[in-house]
Amino acid sequence: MNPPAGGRVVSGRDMRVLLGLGSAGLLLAAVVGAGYRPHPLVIVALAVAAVVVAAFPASPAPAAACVIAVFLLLAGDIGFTVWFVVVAALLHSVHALAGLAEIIPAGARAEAAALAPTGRRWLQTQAVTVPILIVLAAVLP
Amino acid sequence: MLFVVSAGMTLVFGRPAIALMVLPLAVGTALAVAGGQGEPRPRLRVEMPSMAEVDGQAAALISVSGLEAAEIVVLRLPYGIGPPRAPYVVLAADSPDQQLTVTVDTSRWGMRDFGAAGARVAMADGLFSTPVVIAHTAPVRILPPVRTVDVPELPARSAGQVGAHRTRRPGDGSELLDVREFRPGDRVRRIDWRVSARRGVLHVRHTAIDADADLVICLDTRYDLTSDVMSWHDRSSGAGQSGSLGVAIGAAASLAASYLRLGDRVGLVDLAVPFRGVQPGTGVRQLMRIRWHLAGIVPDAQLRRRTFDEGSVPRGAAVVVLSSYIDGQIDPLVGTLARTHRDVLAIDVLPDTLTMPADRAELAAARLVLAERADRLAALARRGVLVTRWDPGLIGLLMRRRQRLRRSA
Repeated sequence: MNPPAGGRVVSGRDMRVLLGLGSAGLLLAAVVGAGYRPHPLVIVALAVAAVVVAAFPASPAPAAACVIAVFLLLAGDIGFTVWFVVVAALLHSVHALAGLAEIIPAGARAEAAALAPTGRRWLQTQAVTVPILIVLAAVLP
Repeated sequence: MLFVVSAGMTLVFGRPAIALMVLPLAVGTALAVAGGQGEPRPRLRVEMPSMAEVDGQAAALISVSGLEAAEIVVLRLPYGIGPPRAPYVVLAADSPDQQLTVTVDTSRWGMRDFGAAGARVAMADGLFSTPVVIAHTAPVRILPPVRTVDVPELPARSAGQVGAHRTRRPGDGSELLDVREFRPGDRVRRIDWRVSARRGVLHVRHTAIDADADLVICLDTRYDLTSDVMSWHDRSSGAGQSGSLGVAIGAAASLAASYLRLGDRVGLVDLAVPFRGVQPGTGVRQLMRIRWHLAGIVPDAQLRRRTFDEGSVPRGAAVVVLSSYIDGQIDPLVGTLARTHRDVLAIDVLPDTLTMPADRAELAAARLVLAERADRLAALARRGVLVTRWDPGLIGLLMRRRQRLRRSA
């Protein structure tokens, strides 16, 4: 009787874990893609940043993580590589997840169907933009 | 914000890579914003059951409407409704109206107010959301439980000619008193033809009239005392179901159910607010009436006990007074009842084991109050009132013993 009665259920905490992993991956990909050798302290700092992003999705932390990732990648001046595509995809993922986590409280039980439109749009976007970025990576210096 | 920052960085640094990096983000946002047509205006409504049985099944219906162009509905369920420790529910807004049924917590009886429900609607990956709309829930009356008590038959009323109890008054009833010779004025249908044929003279059956029995339960709702003596200062604080009032209400429901099952008439008098009582009656509906009233009782020390209206207790009725007997206000009432009514049962509902204060002065004061209370109960017993604690197994035994003693006397 209690909702959601049927189907798959995603909790708000699951979404925050996903957001934390996504932002950690984003920052790590930016660091590695830029050609830096990640010091253990840098890894710890990235983990802390990911935890902050996951804990406070409604704060400026997710946007700050995205800006830092962009800066890191551009500072390395690596041009259009695979890392560039990966960071761009993760940037979009973190942005979408942060928007949902801002609305859905940590203790919520969400119908998987409620998250389906976002997932569908994410796939559509990736399907359009990844080939463009790959082509650009091949064409541009 | 990210778009503005990236556009600025692209222009400042002259790096088109920045703009390309946020390309998926821009496309995704454009798709999300383009998908929504119109603006949702959510309306929330919660339909609660008016009453429920304790530990029974009860459900609330939550409706959210006006979900046009919405994607996600985030519902904040009221406390005690829905799954425990999961007050937020997120639903897909795939139709303009959403309804869901959630269970209502009925583990505690009484008037339960579950608070308010809230709803928020979001669209475009959570980029846009409406303000939270709130709907208040109506309180639910959860009826107190009924325990079966093995109670003896009550003495029949001296008035009335119908009921399930035998009397010694001769009249038109079912209980045979004797068979005697026919006299002028006797009804023909009373003739016992078998005895008349055997004796050769007309004989009639002589019967006793039947009568019903009344039980009036008087409830002292002024106090709700816990086992912690120090908390007695605050007379208005409700102790819940473990306090003296909770025990009294449970006892009243069980006694009412037990005597109504025997076919007796049972009424309820609220000593703090006499007009809130239930007139004596019989049957299942009367039990529901009494339980409905009991579920709505909340302790209120501001209510002064008014002059007790003896007219609300039928003549010949047995009376049960449920109280903590913590003050002397109850003495004259029970004393009067002991004089005017034959069967008066005083049930002490104060918790069995008390936590006494540590401070010496407060300990002395508490002991004084308890000593006065013990004297009060002893005085009631001397007046012929049966004084006992609430113990479903003991009440019946004590009442039967007193009835035997009365018969032998």
